[in-house]
Amino acid sequence: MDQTAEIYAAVGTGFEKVAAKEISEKLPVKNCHSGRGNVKFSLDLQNVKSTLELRSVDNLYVVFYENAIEGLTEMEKEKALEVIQNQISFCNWKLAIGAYQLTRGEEINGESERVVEQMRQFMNEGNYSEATEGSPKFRVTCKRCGEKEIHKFSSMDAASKFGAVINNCFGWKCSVKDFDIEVVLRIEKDFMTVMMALNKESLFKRNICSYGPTTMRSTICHCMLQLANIKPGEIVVDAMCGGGSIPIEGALCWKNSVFLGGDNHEMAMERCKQNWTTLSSSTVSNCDFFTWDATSLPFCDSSVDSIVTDLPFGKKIGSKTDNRLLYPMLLGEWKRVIRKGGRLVVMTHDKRSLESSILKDRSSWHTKASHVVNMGGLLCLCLCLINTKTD
Amino acid sequence: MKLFVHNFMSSRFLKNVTVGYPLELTVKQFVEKDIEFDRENMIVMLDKIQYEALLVAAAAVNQSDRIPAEKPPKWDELSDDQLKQFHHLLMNIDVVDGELICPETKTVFPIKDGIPNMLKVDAEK
Repeated sequence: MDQTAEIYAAVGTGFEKVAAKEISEKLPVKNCHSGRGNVKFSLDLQNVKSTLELRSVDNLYVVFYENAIEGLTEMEKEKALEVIQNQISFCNWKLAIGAYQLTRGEEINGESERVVEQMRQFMNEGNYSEATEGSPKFRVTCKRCGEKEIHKFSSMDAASKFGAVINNCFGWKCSVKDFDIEVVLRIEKDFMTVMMALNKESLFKRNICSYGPTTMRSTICHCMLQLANIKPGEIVVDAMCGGGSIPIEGALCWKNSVFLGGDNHEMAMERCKQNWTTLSSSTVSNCDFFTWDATSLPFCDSSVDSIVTDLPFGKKIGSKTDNRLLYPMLLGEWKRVIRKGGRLVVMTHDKRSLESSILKDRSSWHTKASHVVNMGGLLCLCLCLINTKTD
Repeated sequence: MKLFVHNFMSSRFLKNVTVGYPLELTVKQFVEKDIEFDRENMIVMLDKIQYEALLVAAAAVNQSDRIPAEKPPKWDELSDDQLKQFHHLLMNIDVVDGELICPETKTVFPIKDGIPNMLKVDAEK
């Protein structure tokens, strides 16, 4: 198969460039472009399964239709929906099914040749395909970007109309909850894109079985760890690790480095044990946990290469008043423990406390990177700082 | 807890402690894993360690005979077999139950289920 597949990778907003870097370094991509909350890239169809190995991506889709529909924003509701439905014959279903089968490793009833035949019959003869035993279950979701009032139809309207014509043409069974195939319509003003989901479960649902009050997605953990520029043989610490999401993701991806996580809460340590036990083995052991006070770490001066931590936002854990005192104490201790030239990568919603703590000791920290990241609706600040201490 | 980590630990955060290194170590139970040996990686890690603390750790698990009493002058001059001895101590041994003790104040930090409790509040109880 010499075909090229265009892939849309949904990524945490704010970390698009970090994901784009992982994508272009790990995969044989032909081009790679970051958007808002996504990275688009193309690669040979035969390599599509390797996209599932990406660690900074939340969800993957193969794009099989992309076009501007002139006047879509002005059309009356019925007309607009009819036009959307008509686009079905311009979608490259063969490519979509081909990519789907390669990533899932399972065949769709009759494979990609059948959908081509079904489409031909539908377009030329108006024949509907009946659902059979082997027909897959599908659903359509529609996302409209930008102002919602710009169209005379709703996202639900578009999704259900498009779903209806898919059902007629291919005989696939519509099922909102238990589905094999997910078709996603993305409409931005006059521009419409149709994509098919490649991964079954969201890719960030990995590593953790025991969730705590503020567990961070493993894809966000991965992006933060990328910023720390970890080298083999290095010691990377998460001083406030909660259930261990960051050190566990680190240990799984950077097998030649040592990850240490610690928290002062007993419940957190219980969760770390549960999470790590399912993943470690007699041959994998590069992650250790401790109960400790993040402001009094049991390490020698300059013995750690980097610290990567999700700070208490002051919402679910702690408070902003606490943070004003806590953050400077943390930075002081971490400056001591991290070697000169080592990195500190932190995430917080309490930007003010973080920025003022850094200002208080500005000669010790150089800001290498700054990302504004959307964490479940909260706009958070992720900073990568380099330790430039003088003593 | 791996013995490699013991090499970087100190109790300096306690009051009245000036150096707090190396921590004394008593091991009641440990497991031996089979982590893949990588020569280059081991040399990178050995360049970071303090030899006297490694001797303390080796003695705690009664495996001092694996390594020389004096620090080898150049790590990259050692054979794979010699490096594997260090690899075994630092990476394969996982302490499940034991104690880390401050050398100056003799404060005891217990290790339970592989997790050391380094909270000064708990230790001073």
